[in-house]
Amino acid sequence: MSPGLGLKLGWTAFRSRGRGEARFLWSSSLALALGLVPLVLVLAIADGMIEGISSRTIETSLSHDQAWPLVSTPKVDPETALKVVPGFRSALREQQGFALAFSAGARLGVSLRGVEARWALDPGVRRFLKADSGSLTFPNARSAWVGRESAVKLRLKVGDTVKLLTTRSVGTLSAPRVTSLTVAAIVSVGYEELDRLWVFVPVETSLTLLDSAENPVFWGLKSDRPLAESAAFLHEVRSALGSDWQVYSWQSTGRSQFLNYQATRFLLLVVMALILLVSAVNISTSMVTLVQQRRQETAILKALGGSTGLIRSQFLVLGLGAGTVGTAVGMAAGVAVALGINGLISGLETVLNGLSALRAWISGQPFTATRLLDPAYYLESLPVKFDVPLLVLVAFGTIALAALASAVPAWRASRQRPLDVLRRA
Amino acid sequence: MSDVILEFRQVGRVFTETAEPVTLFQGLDWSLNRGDSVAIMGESGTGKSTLLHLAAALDQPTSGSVWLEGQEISRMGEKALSPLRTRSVGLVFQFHFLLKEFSVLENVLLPSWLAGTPKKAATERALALLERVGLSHRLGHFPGQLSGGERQRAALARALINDPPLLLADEPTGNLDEKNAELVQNLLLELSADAKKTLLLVTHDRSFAARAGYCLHLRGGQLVRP
Repeated sequence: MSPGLGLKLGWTAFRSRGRGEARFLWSSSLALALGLVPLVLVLAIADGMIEGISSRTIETSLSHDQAWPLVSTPKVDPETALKVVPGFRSALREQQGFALAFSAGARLGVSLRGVEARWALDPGVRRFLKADSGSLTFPNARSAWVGRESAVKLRLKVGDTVKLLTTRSVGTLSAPRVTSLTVAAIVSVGYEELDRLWVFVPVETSLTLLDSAENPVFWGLKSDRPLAESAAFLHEVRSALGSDWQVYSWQSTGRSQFLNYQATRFLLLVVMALILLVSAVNISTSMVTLVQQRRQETAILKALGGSTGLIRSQFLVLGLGAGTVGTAVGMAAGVAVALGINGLISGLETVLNGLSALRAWISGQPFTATRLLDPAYYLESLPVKFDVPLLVLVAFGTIALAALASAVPAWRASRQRPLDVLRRA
Repeated sequence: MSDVILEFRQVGRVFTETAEPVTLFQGLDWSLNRGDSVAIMGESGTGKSTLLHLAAALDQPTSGSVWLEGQEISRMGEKALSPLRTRSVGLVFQFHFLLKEFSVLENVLLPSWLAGTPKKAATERALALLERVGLSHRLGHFPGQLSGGERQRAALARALINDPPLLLADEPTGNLDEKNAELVQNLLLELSADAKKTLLLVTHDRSFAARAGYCLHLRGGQLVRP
């Protein structure tokens, strides 16, 4: 038997006339492609968002590692001791606690972060932490950088005074303390969920505001090594610092957060895979219809000596063809949509706001602009990252799914008795 | 090589799909010699087509056995039957059963593709056959563009492409007008005689049957001389 005969016979369905066989296959391909577009999009955006949020969290909040002293006066100073560790960049003191911030008629619970002035010079921090106004320096010990959202709620701008209410233990009592600070900068890392409650002060100032027993100082460690090598770095840091220090990696300090991202990504993938599964069922349904429509051709082929393998292969070729076309179109469309998603959203936002403005003008109501990407929940623009090996896996998986969906109809076609059809004809 | 090409041994065929079982044959013993041309006649429903289907291994007897070229085809599985149908049997039905998506040439070549015949040799033979049946000017046409007689002539060329020793024709002119019927009859008889094929022909047409080597009537599940 000619090896390409199954392909040739299958291909004839695409160029067939009159019974819409090609239409069935094209619509199945299209359904598969439409199922793939959201999958590629969600995958690209989820990966981009996870990477964007994770990078911001690690570089501006968790540090690569954290070193916590276990004794009041450790034998070694981290900055000095860690110079021997390859890739070590910095070890900067930090203190974190809570405070009540208030200004002209507004108040807000904030996350107070005492950092060293050179913390803002770290390349990782500089990459993400931007000053909307002011500059990332502390002109004096009574200066503060306020997160963008906190500044909005507290109605603050650079040069204004913000008061912080903190407590410190005095014996068994907690003594409140109010400190006035001057806003030196309004800052943001581009992800509101992370920075909306941040207020930065020099660590020397935070030491006077927060109780060191309840809010101990730790050292945020940064390395030049890729994050993937953090386990090796951590091991060397632990060896260099000795037993007076407890060292945690970003994976352990942000464990629940990162697990949450992965779980969300997995669930999204499961939902998208279900959509693909429905598309595959669609291919199977089309193949069943096709097998039914081509009963006479199948019977003729068998009567002329066509083997069961040939009959199976022609329908498998059709399913595989529909799957491959659908996958190629879906992947290309998914990548294109992902690459242009921010432009699409921006365009949609413009159209919606134009319509809202028109409606407001007609009704005389005030116009409120709509923001589709609310920075409270998302990064300010949707980041896109393509996990190429995973996308290749998805593509091959989809084609395999399409072939699998055609397998049962193809097998049924090959089991058909030619005489049952030829007698009726 | 045995003189007998086709043999029915104690063949029975009972259809049980109907409300009342229908027995067409019971203990049918019959053989067909190589090179013979025989016409089977009989009333409708006596089992003429079924006899042909059994000979082509498209149907299986409920009892007994059918032998083709010394092989018991009634016990063969689909895997073994495929090459046998391709190489040993040429089929012409009352309806042409050409594939509508294939051109005339492709339809004639189809059994040669199934048999794996080298392309050049197959094409040469197909062109010669199509010339012989008067369709050399219709090579690229599709079945839908042909007349009934032309379709049946194409089907006849297709049946002969693999040079099978046994040609089975089931009412091959049943759907044709007188002129086309005569043309197809002439071609069928001439081509099978020229190529020394064994011809098993089922027909209602007495004059057509009379042109075969001999004629048999199917009555009461047995083949008898008229």
